[in-house]
Amino acid sequence: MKNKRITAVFLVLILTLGSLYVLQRLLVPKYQTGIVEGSMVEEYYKDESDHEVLFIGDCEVYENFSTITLWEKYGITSYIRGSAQQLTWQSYYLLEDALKYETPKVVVFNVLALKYNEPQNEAYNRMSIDGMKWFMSKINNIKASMTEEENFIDYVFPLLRYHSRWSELTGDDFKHLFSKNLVTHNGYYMRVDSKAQSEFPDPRPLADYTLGEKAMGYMQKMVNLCKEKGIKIILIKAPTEYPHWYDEWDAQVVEFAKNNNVEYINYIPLQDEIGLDMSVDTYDAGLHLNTSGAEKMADYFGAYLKANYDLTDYRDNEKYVAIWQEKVDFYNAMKAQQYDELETYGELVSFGANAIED
Amino acid sequence: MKKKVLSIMLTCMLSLGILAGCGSGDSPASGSHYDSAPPTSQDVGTQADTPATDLGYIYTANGVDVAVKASMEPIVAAWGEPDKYFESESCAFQGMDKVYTYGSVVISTYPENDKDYVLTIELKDDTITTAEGIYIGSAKADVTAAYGTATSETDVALVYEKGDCQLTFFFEDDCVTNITYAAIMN
Amino acid sequence: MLFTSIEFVGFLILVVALYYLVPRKIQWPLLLVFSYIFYYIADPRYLLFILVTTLSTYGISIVMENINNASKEYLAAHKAELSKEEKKAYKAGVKAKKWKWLLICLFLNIGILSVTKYTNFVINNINSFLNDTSKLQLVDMIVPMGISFYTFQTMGYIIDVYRGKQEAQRNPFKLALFVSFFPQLVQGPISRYGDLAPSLFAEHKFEEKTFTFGLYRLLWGYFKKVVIADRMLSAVTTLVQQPEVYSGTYVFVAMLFYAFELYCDFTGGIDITIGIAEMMGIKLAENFNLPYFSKNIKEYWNRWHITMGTWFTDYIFYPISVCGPMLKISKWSRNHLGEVIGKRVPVYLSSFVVWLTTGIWHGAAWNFIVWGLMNFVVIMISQELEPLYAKFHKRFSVKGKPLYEGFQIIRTILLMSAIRMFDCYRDVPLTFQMVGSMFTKCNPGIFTDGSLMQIGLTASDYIVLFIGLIIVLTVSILKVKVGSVREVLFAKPAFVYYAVMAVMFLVIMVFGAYGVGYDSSQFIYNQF
Repeated sequence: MKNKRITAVFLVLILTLGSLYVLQRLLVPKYQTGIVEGSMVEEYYKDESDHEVLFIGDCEVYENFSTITLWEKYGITSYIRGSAQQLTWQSYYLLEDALKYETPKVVVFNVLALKYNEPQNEAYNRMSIDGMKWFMSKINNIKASMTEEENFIDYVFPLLRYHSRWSELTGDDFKHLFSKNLVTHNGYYMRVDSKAQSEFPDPRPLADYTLGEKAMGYMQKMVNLCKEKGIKIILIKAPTEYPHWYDEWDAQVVEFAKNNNVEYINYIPLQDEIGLDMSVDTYDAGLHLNTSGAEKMADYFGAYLKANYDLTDYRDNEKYVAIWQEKVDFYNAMKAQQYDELETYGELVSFGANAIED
Repeated sequence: MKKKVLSIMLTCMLSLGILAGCGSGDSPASGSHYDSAPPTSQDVGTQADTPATDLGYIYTANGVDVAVKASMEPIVAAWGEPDKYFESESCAFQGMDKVYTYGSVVISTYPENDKDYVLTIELKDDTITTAEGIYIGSAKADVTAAYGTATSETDVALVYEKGDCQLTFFFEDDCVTNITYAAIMN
Repeated sequence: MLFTSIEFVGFLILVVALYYLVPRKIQWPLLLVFSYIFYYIADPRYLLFILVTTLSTYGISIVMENINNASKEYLAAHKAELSKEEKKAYKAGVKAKKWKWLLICLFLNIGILSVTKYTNFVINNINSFLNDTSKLQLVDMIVPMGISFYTFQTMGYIIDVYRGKQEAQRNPFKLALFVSFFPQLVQGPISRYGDLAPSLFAEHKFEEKTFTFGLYRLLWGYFKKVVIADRMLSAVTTLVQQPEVYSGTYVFVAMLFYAFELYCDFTGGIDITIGIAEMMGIKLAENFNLPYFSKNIKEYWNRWHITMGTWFTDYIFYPISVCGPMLKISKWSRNHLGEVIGKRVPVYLSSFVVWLTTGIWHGAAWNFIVWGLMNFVVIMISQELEPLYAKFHKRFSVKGKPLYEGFQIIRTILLMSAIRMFDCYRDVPLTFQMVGSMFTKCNPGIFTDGSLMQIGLTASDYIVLFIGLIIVLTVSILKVKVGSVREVLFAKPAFVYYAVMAVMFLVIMVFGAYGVGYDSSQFIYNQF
């Protein structure tokens, strides 16, 4: 009798845990259509080949550099570990995390996020962190990133955070319960549509232009980590002009680069040299580049990398060619689909804002 | 016995783990105040005479009070179409940041729950003054006379904080060149 | 730590697990330690207040009992020598001595309660009474968590010791646990020492039934609190905080919503409290007995917040009714006002005091005072109308018919809910104005034009609330029909018994209104 009851307890316990697991999988956002930015961090682990160049940063890397162009033109293998509004400490921990799996030759960090010195936004935090695998890097990342309203335990058990999504479930949530599609091209977020850059509002003066200690500290940690592992690090400011990148900030990064003996390139003044035409090369009026812009940027940056860093041209290596051919095909197929939609509907329908399911 | 001690320790560790896992959790129950102001008049007795949430410094024009963190809707309704308007979609579609320009007043907003709230108010020329009578061109002494000692001071600016508002006066050669009200976000 | 916080859940698992793992002799000391930790986490300064209350009560209860014992010994030793008058005089002297000590204890502890809770209320009233000629500064006062509850509990104890109904607890740590037992510290129930002590200090072996019954009770409490009450919170807040927008029929909606929110919040909290205690084999007093099934207000108050009601009856109503001055008033009024009115004067006076103090106890605001007095008025009126009702019942013989009982129940709910609106609005005049607008402003269109979708609840919220309340109603009816729902479940196969529990847990996890996107909310009765 007693044994029977104990068996029942265990049976119910197992069923409950199983249900919790399935419920959790069901209720966490899948980020498969529309807002795909939440899938980026997780997707990195699916890419089994290694990379010689690793981009780290926010939308100014994952929307502005076409990894496929880098491959096609220069045989450079690269990956972008970026996510929406990825804060400097998040970049550091994602780099730390990536270095567990591979040691690239070059790490590229975009400095725009230095403007944030405090945790910002819960939604972005989740997109940047949820996809990480559970190692110390993730734990430290959470601790550094949490806003006041957040709890650590919500990251451990995402169900606690997303339980109320039951009323917003879409087809995607069921379709991608246990498997997800790739949404980026080695971290690059493709948008082929175009919306000309217009006038930006005048930048507001700031009372204090000093970049925050926490942000600068994590950039320092990134540099140190790279040096330790014999990796070259390049600091960049992507060529897009909004949000405004103040000269005073730029000067501090220049100073930092000099002190650490690393390279820093601000691409804003180099728009013409890159060949960017902001009336066509951006999809959201100048904030981010579209694919034609990202390809130009990648072309320019690839040539620079090739000339200045000892990178391998893997286009002679069969193993890599096979891997990358698949990526190129996926890239071209998505590009074709997007152009197709543009032609048919005048706008993208299964990508971007229009694709967000209600 | 050993088993018992062991299980005690395990339980302690497990529970401490859970407790420790609650880093920046919500504040401890003070047990005496409705933080989220639910519907009882428990604190009404003391609240009746004090103003509602302190929005800090308020800029008033055309009969409309503009405060940081206030809804943008009534302002647009009162002031009409802006002279210039700029919007930018934030990454991953988390809402639209907007900038409205009305003459020499520039208001930027942030989105929250499908509505826009005032993030900053910028006064850009001497045709307008703050509620306390300061305008572009006022001397530094006028500012300190009107506002008192600044909360903080930098090479180029005096910063005053009140409630959720940070009011900054920028100077060039001792003259105010720009006045900005900004919401203090957590 | 709110009951609904993850920290509390962690704390609870730790305490309950340790409770059954440590040697049984130290089970109750363990609870004392963790109760103090619980209080310490809330605010270390609170400890000072609870310590003063505990120690003063302990000391004085011992003194009183010593006086009792000494007097008994004295009387026994001198039985033969003392005349009847001498004995009487001696006893009176002893009583006066004890009375003095009781007064000291009451003054001290009710003093602490009053000063912490009511100072600012008094200051505000003085300021407004003197029309702002006086500008007394408000004091930055901390109100120790649960002070109303533990003070009442301790005062009940000391009065019982004074009356000789209760032996004094000679172990100060045991008394400290009685005062601070963490589940009931924040919102009651207000336990009597004699009821709680036996199970609180007993040694408990882990038993499946006791433990899981407690767990069931706990989950049921969380269901009501997190799934229903916290979900309604935002809507009620929206409605009552913008009275200029939400008047007329909205007030009716707010009234009903608040009735259900408060019910689920308060009974849910008490279920959690009782459930926690039960998991450890400790029996707490019941605080509710399906109050919304009451057919009149008097019955309602016998079934809602029971431990508070009986406390006021035993320690306020009864002593006032039989105290010297009241007996004199009673005699005078019978002589001068005639039997009919004279008989009522002392009862009315005592009830008035009870309801006035009940109101004040609920909070330092005029709203609560008026709320208490409204209850008094309604109860008195219905008592006066009783003969009329009796006639009516006789004439139409509707009494006991389901339809008429349904009417009585709904009438009672509506009446209590209307009075309770004093809980909600900013001040007393506004409450009258808003409740009035229910009858003067006609806008029932809000039920059909989608207005109710704009008050902070989505369609899916309404569905959850609807189903949730149906479940609560069904379980309540079941309780009336079968007595203990848990016993019925326990009789079923173990798999079913535990599966129902698991489903409850999953429902709370998914449909609970907690976490990001919801305001974390206190229990309403934490405040009193």
